[in-house]
This record gives sequence, structure tokens and C-alpha cells, in this order.
Amino acid sequence: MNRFDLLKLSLGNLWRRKVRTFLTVLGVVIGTSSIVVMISLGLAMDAGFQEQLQQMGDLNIIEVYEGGNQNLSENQEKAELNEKYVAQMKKIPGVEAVMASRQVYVRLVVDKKVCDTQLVGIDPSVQEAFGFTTEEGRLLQTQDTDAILFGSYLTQWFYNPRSSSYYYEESPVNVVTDQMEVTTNTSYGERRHGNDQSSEREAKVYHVRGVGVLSVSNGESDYQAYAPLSLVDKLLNESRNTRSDYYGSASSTQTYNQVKVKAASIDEVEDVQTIIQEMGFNTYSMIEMVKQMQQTSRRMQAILGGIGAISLLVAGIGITNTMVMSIYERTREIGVIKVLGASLKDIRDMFLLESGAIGLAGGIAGVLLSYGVSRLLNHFGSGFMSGYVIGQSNVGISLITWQLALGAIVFSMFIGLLAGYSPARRAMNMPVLKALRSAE
Amino acid sequence: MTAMIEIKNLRRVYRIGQEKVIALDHVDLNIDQGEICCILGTSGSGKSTLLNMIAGLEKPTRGEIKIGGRHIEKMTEAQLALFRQKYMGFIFQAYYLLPNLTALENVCLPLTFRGISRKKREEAGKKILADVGLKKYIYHKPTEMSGGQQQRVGIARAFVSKPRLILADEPTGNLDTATTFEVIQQMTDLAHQYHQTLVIVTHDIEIADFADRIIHIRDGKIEKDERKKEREEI
Repeated sequence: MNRFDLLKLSLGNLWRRKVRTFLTVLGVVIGTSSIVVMISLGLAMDAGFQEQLQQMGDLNIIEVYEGGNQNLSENQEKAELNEKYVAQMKKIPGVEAVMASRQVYVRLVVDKKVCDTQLVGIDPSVQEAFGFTTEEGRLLQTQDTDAILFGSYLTQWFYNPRSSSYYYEESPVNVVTDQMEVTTNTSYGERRHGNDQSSEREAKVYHVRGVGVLSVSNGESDYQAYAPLSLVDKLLNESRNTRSDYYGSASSTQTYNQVKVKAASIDEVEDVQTIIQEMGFNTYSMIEMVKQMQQTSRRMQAILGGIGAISLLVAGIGITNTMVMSIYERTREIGVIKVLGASLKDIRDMFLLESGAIGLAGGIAGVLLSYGVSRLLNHFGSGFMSGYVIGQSNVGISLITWQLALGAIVFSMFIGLLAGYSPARRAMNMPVLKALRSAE
Repeated sequence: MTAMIEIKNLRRVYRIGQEKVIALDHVDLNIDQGEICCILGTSGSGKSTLLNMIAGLEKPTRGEIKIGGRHIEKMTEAQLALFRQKYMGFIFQAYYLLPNLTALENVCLPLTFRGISRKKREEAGKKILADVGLKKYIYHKPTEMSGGQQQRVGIARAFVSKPRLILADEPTGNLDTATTFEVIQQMTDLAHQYHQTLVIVTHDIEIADFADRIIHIRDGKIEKDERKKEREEI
């Protein structure tokens, strides 16, 4: 029997019992939509988490600190953030880039206005890997020796040191300029007071160029300026030679203040972190938080999905019941079509098609209904739910992805087939004579 | 003439509780290709059991049944379904038309099961419905037709696939006398026309008169086997 004829016969049978078919489909609609809506709540929560995390920073980045691991074996030297270890970190499988930096506190001067900030010396080649993008101008380049890259908020922090008020009421300074100076002397450009007879020699002032301004990152980079390591080292040496109350964070140009390791993917963060800890360092990354959030949302999704699944289970039982009833009613008919030459497979397929069609129709209608419910929830329910849903954000409280919609339709069809399987087998194996003799 | 049906030493025993009921015993019967044959007997004589076993709907307790040279008592359900699809047509006392299908769709059902295209099967269906005089009724549902018309649809359905063997179980049991003769005449005419073997089971001696051969069954045994020519000679 060809597929199309079989389908036509099955659908005809369903049509013959419209009310019952409708009620059975309705059961599946309710089941499917309850499962979809429940899962959509979990998905929205997940999406909310993701959004929050992204605001917090790059999930792939591990920050490395000295100290920490107390369980070092005796012959292992104390781990220092120096060139040797940084080179080792670069070789860890799964590491995309390592940003090792030294910092110096400087005063930047443009057009007689000054700005005091942390100048971070980095290797320009890792900028892209760590997500540096410019709003204006360009990033640092490897051949740069006197270039400075500004964090996005810094441009607003310039002020006139000779003005009576120290506030930043003045308009932002154009920092992409060749006319810039930098010094570790943090009172440079101010009026000299008569009694200031410091014995120290004043720190040198270097001529530098501002090359660009970073885009807003909502992280520490917004408040810092970046320069090639060579420039920072020069300033550090100068600072050490001129100031007794030196409080620059790096004790020497041999070690780094801060090391950040970027894993190639979020899945590798944990492994990389473990290896770095085994070297004797302390690490920090967002992975623990991510894992915890994921676990929470998994659990929520499982609970919500489970609640929805119960109603789909009930709907599945409804389908089985309908099919069993249908077989009782049509016992004789099954006998007749068997005698007329329908193969056993045709009979089984006919019943499976019927129950599958109920599942499919219910699934499609259920998904459509879910979209409606989801919209209503997002429209009216956000205030009501915000206290309970942690990850709530502009994603809303219900999110139906296309995968969920498609999955729900396929799943409910599968439930239909599953529910129809045993009745279909029963129809197939029914003895012809018994079927023919059965009373209608 | 080649034998269409060959039955040897057939026995069928039912077990009802502790009791054994012998429905058929020592039945030997050959029916030729193209023969129109009537199995005549009273209720409980075993005639329906015999027909069911020829159709492969019941398994014999002992003995063998060959149809067109093939042993059907050894076939599985699936093989039997295919065999019936290819070689057999059925006519039932209660017509057994599918209520949600039109006359034409009902008639075409055996061809549908064979996977024949809609165009071809409707062509054949319309032709056979015209043969039984239901040209105007092809799009009617069974509920919109009289008993006689319904049975003619049933006949058309049995003949549409041109099977070599047609089995009819009390085909006129639900019809009045006038309609009975019309219907039986149509059946025998069609069978003659296509040289098909027709086996009719009935308790009605008047129907038996239409057959080439009458097999009388009583208490599970063949009592008498007479051919039309012999009858006419007497």
C-alpha cells in the first residue's frame, strides 16, 4: 500500500471521530505547551545568567596571583610571576594568550592639562586576544616605543593643575596626539610652593604619543592607560631612582604585577586553571560562578520540565486510550481490511499514523499556544516573577528558542507514536476470524 | 482442468471446555479452476469452517489444503495476508463495507492495498461498478444505499482485482428473495466472464441451483457431491 493512500485512510478515520480526535489532540496541546512554557522559563533564566556574566567580564580569562598553594613540595621554589613562569603558562595546552603586565603610576600631560593614572605595560601582540578594541585611533603596535593607549573614561579625567578647583569640569581632551608628555612626578605642572626644597631630583619627563582610545569594556581597562612594556620599565626605573616614598607596585622589572591567561574556550578554563595552580599560583576566574549558575539553572529546568512532562504523560495515556477505544470499535473493520489484503505492516502503520498524527497536531498547536503564553508572561508577569527568577534581565522570564519549539513538536509526535505502538501491534496481531465475528 | 483447490483428509476439532467438537472430518475435495461451486449445509454443519480454512482464516487440525498448488496451512499470517491480496476475493453476508468510504473507494480497497495508483484503480473500480449496475452510485456512502446495492458494492470489491478465487459466505443472507436472485446472478455471471473459481457457502437450496456443482455438508462430512449436468440428467 503506498504511503499517501495509507495516510489518507488514517486521517479519514480520525476525521470520522472528530470530537474524540479533537479532545485527544487538546490533551496533547496542553501537555506540550505546559512542557514548553516550563522549559522556556528555565531557558530565559539561563540566558539571563549568560547576559549577567558577560557584563562581568570575559569568562575565558584566568587571573594569576603569587602565593596561594601551600602544599608545595620542599624542593619546589616559590612561584614568582616572572618571565620563566609566564613562558611556561604560554605552553599549557588550551592557552590562547598570556598577558603579563607591570604597572607604574604616572601623570600624563596634554595641552597643559594633566591626568594621574595607572600605566600598564603589556606586550602589544596580545591585545586582540584579550578583546581590546578601539573607539578612536589604533591599538598599540609591537614596534611602538612611546605610544600610549587610553581607557575610555580616562579622557574625561584631565584637569588643569593650576586651576583652583580640582574637578573635571573641563571638556574631554583629545588624547590622540603627538603632543603628550608622561612622568612619574605626580606634582609635575603644578605651581611650586616656596618651601618645597626637596632634595630629590625631579623625575624626567618623556615625550610620548597618544595613539588611541579603547572602547568601553565595563572593566578595569576603562580606567587605565596602556603602553609597551619597554616604556613602562623606563618609567619604573626613573621612579625608583627619584622617589624615596616609591609606591609603584612592581618591585623590579624582573617580575610582573599581574598575569592574565586566556583559555581558547570556556571548556578548557578549568584544566588550564588546575595546571597553573599546580605551578604554585593562586588563580581566579569566573568559571566557578558559571558552573554554579549552570547547575542551578539545570536543576530548575529539570524541575520545571518534570512538571510539564507529567501533563504530557497524561496526554500520552489519553492517546493510548483513544487508540485502544478505536481498535475496539473498529475490530471488525480491521478484520475486513485484513481479509481484503491489507498486509500486517499496513495495519500497524495505519494505527501508528493515526496516533502520530494526533501527537504531531497536538505538538504544533501546543507550540503555537506556548508562544502566546510566553508573550503574555513576558508582558504581564515580569514584575510578578522578578523576585523569584535570579537571572532575570531584558531577556524576559520566558524564552522559546526554535530548538525548543522544534524539539517539542518532534517529541510530542514521538509520544504519539509511542502511545500508539501497543494498540497498533494489537490491531496487527488480531486474529481475522475473531475480528470479523466481533459485534459492532 | 487444473485444480484450484485441493483438500486432503481435512479435520478440524474445536475444544469447548472439556468437550471436543468435531467440525470437519475426513474431508477430501478438489475444486477446479473456473468452477462455480456451492457448499450447502444447515447451520452447524461445518460449511463455514470449511470456507474459513480455504481462506486461511483457520488452521486445520489435520490434513492439507492447497490453493493454486500452494500449501496454505503452513503459511504465516503475513504470508497469508499477501496470498489473499494476490489470489482471493471475499464476499460477506453483512457486506462489511467501510462506512466512511464511498462505494468507489470501497471497491478500490483491494487495489489500494496492492499499491496500485489512484488513477488505475479508479478506472477499474468504475468499470466493475458499472458491470453490477451501480454507475450512478459510485460516490455514495454505504449508509446511502440499500442492502442489495451494498452487496453489489461488496461483489464489485471482490471482483475488482480479478482474483483467481472468490469466496462468498452466505452472500444473500441479509437480502430479500428478488434481490437475492439478482445478486447471485451477477456473481455467477462475473465469475463465468473472467473464468474465476467461485465458492459460495449457503443454506439456501435455491441459491445452490445457480452453481455448477453442489457439495452437501452434514455433521462435518461431505454427504453428497453433485454436478449440474448430473442434476439435469436426473
